[in-house]
Amino acid sequence: MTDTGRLLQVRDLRVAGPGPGPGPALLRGVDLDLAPGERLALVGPSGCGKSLTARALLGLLPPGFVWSGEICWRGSTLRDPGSDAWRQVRGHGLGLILQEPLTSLNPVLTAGGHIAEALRVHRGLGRREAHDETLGLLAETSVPDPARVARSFSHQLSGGLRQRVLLAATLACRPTLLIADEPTTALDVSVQKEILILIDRLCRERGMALLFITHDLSLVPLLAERVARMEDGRIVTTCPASAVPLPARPVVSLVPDEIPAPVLVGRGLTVTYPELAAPAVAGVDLELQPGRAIGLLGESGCGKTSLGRALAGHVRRSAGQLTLAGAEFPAADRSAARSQRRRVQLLFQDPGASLDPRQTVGAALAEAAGANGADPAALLAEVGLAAGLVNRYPHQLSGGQRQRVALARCLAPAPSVLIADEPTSALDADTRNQVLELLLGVMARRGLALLLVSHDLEVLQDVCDEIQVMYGGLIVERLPGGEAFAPCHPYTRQLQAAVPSALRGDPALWAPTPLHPVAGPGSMGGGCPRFGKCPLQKAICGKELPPLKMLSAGYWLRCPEAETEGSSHFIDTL
Amino acid sequence: MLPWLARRLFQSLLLILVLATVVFAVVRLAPGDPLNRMVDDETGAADQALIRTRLGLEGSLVQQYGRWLRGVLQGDFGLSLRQQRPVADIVAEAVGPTLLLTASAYALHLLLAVTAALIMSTRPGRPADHWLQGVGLALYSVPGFWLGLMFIMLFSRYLGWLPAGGMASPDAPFMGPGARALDVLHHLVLPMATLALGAFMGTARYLRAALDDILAQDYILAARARGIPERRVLVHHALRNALLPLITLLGLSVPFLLGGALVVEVVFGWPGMGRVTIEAIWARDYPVIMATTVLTGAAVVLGSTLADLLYRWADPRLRLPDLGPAEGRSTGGR
Repeated sequence: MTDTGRLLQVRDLRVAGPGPGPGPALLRGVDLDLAPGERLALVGPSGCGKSLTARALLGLLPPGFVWSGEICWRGSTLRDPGSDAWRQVRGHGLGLILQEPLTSLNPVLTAGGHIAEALRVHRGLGRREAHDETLGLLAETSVPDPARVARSFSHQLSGGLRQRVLLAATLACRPTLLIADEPTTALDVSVQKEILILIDRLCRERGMALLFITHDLSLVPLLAERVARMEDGRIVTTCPASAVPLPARPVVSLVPDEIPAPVLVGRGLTVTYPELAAPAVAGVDLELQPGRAIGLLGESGCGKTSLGRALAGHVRRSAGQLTLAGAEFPAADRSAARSQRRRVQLLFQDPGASLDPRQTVGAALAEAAGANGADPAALLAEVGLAAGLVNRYPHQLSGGQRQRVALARCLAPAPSVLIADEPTSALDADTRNQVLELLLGVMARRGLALLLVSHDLEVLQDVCDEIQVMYGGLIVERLPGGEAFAPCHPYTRQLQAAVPSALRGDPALWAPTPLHPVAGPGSMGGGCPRFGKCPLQKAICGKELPPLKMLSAGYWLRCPEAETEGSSHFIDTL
Repeated sequence: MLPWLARRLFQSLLLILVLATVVFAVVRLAPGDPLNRMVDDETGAADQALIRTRLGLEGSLVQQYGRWLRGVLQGDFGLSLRQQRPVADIVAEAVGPTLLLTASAYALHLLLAVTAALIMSTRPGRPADHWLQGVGLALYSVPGFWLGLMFIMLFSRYLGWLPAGGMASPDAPFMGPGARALDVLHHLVLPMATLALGAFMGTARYLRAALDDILAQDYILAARARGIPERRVLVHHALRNALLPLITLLGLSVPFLLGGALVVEVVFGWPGMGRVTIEAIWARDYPVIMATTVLTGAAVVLGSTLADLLYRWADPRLRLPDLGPAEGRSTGGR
């Protein structure tokens, strides 16, 4: 039965969850084979058992879970998760990288402490040797300034650095199979690109096999040779990675007609937080028009969420004017402000957190409708849900259903503006497309002004009439979405190049890229916030902040270096 | 950090002053007069007035409070009405024994709590978990004085292993320094165990909840996946994080321990602050009552300040700032 040429052989792996009596069957007979150095992607919708498979292989199922089947590592069968044999396989045979690098590092241990601990446990190194080897491993994972990073705690590091530290700690045990469970899902696209390239390089250099778990099909061909698709606790198909189609994109018709008068107008909006030296939002002008979808694109920390909340009147702005249908917003008078605020609704990323777990769907909708008496059943029908869901609690709904309920709750007070902050980032590709199509349909039908805040360039490009790109609290480029989307700002272009489908299309981009320069203090000097990270920069960029200039109808750019290209190029595309 | 500390200390001083004022008012407005113990019906009015002046009890309450506060600010807590000795001397003699008792009881209670929490958290639903919960909760529920009396009955009266009370044997003055220290420890065992056993289950349950939470975290899974031995995962990774919030709890336990010590000191005749306070209350010995309550209050306030300070130092997330701007920080779940 066992084959010593195989690295890992799994037969009929079954896992049942905890419960009185026999628990629910979560894995229902998984078979897996991996040869040394082979790279396999494990894909499937959330909840299909991908992560559970990884945990079962490591012998680290949550308490109360029961497993059966056969797991063979290098020809010997693993039986008892508590045994020394299996512990030796953990780390030394199998390495694990998780989705959220912040929570995967112990907050009270230094980054170097994690790596040194693994070195001392697995390789028996002394304190001194472990320290030197730690710095070597950090250098191998392309960490700039390893000595400083080794001394830092996880909260002091960026997401990309945290993931590199975790990789280094995993490599310290010299695994022959790396299990990467959604390793870039929590990261920005440009950081995602760097981490994917790093994993690819490490696997090649060390001859490591890879089990790459992801929900994002577009990433599969970048790292894997073979792909296994899971559904409902089983592997349903296995095929070469090159045969995997790109995930479907939402189908939305953008009608370029004349732009109506704006309903929500912000001028010079500025948001500052006492704990931050630089303002989160630094003087942004923004207009939202009925029936139009504006996309706000930016990476984490760029101020897009603060801007969205300031527009909804939920974050106090420290400067600038905001008017809703010509009236000051939020109004100085308290009761007026309250009724006014209902006209601007916020839709959040995680409906699991934004819905009250102790409130039924019907109660949440009735509460949100208030005096206007909107019918919960009608609202549910509008977002494509059955009226029977009114008596359900949020935990009884799927992720997509929850986001639809959250949308219905936003529609209950009959708002004129909807600000959606990463509404689909927690959803699978198919569900994402459905929710986006629904959102855009509701917008067109109700004549809502929509602001879609996202880090996902492709999503915004597909569904928005106009896209505003934000960096360091500033709008750096404003351009039409859809077919006419053709950015000129070097930052937007960098984001565009890091999108997985772009990586796949252009093998030159897969070549080793120079390291992300260590982030200096942002736009403190008064210059361009991209100064120090920009391929086009001149000395003047560090001293003066360029203005956001309109180069043609519907196209604005904040970069004098890209301006000549922008003006000619844009007249061509229009 | 320094402005924060200055603000905290100022707030603490203010709080102690308010406490002193309230205690002064409450003690003095309560019915009864210390003179009742010193005079009888035959003492003349002139003599009574003279005694009153001697004791510093003449004039209005506000005047008396002013005199008391001025003295305290100069480090003078006045004379004990009952013992006719400086209050400072009485308190100084009692502080040492109380500190010895509470500090050792706290250490023992922490040791028991950590051990119990580790056992309960790693063996959920097993007999060890149930037994610990049962015994711990029983000890937690019974009053301290009753537990103390039971211990005296069992360990001194029937078994004769340990002394029933006091802090030293009658022949202590004739012992060498080493033997005398041992003698004190011998006397310490029962009151310390009474305090610690009565209190540890509260902390243990808190710790267990924290441990259960932490053991489900990604960084524990990641550490186990790196093949770190389970013992090390528990102590090095989980316990270290679970003990952090305990520092704040430590500040909040000070009043609990001092209050418990009061009862236990009386039961065991331990010559500490608790016994001094109780005796002073019976005798309406105002200066002593004031001194012990203000000192206890100060200990509580300073204890929680110290705990906050310690927490800021122990948690790297509060001690160290972020480095640079949030370039590429994780956006949180997908």
